[in-house]
Amino acid sequence: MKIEKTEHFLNFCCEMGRHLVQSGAEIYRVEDSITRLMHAYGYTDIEVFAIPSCIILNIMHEDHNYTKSIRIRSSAIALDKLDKLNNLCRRVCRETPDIDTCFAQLREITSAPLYSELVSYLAHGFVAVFFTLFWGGTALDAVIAFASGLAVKFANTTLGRMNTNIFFTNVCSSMLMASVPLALQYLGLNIHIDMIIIGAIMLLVPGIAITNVMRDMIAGDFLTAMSKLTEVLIISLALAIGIALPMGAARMFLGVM
Amino acid sequence: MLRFLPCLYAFIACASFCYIFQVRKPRFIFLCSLNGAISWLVYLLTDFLPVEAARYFLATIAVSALAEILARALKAPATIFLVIGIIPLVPGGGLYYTMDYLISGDFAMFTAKGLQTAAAAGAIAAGASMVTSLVRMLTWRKQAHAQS
Repeated sequence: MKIEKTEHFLNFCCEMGRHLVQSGAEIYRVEDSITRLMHAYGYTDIEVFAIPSCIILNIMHEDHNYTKSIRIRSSAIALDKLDKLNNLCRRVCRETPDIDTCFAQLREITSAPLYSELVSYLAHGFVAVFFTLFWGGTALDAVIAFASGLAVKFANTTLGRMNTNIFFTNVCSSMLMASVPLALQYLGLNIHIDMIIIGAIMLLVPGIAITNVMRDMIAGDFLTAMSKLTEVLIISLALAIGIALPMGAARMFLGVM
Repeated sequence: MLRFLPCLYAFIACASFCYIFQVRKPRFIFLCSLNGAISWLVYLLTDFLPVEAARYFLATIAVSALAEILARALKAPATIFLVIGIIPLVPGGGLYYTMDYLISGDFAMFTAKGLQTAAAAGAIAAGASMVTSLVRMLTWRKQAHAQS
């Protein structure tokens, strides 16, 4: 059976929205992009609604209502993908090619290779190293921070594969991260635990979410802002617990300061 | 000169973050990292201000404005430059020391540090949203002109 043109187009809009949300676009941009797409293809009676976990689209065309809603579960910030999707959206709006071509180009973007695991591990390590130096750590602190950064990446990947929730993942990651310098200090190394932990915690702190919450709120997406604010608070709480547990234990039982 | 060394560290740390957040174009990686270094430079240069939150506020305004300019110039979403550039300002240290005072049971310092951290986070959020709303206001007027 031949799929109807409007439905086919609706599917494309949904997939576009899904990938935009998943690569870290603001909700404002997602709704704006889909609206522009629909206008470009001549649909005027439309409704677009998006929050980080769901997109609902409706097109009314020749007295028919075409509706589609999708649930979005995981998202990981991928800024290169976001840039390419944005460019594709502009190009499609300008040239309005047929939908199969659009789908092919979308698939090309989403199947583009990511950085390898090795690069990702190294990047986590170097973020921790240079933020430790940034906050005033010594060279020895920086070397240990590299290990802490690797620990964060290791915990995140392993737990991510097991499909655990965001709270538990962050508790475990920060616990493992804080244990590295604590253990080494217990073994007698003269290091600054605070500098190392602050350096490595930058990998986990939801700084991007904090700024996005306000940006969403200003754009009038209160539902999005609230759900992200909850995420920020949960992650912050998880980090505090994850660092407090090993540090408190080390102070009480081992006498490490 | 040593005072500005953290800017260099911020530059390299932001460049590493580009690899975590999957920025692939070399030009983007450079500009994102530069944005991060500039954010800390503004923070350092405004040390004559008595309130720390005000310094965070100004630094965020500088980063957001730069991000919007770069976005217009390179026809890319401003989020890319903002997300990376703002990272050095994120109060990770504040969060740590707040929690540190909590475990040591020093509640006076815990409250003080906690509020200071919250103020910094608030200043960053306020700065970013100020620039965004201003830019949206201006671009909306441009679009309205184009249509009429």
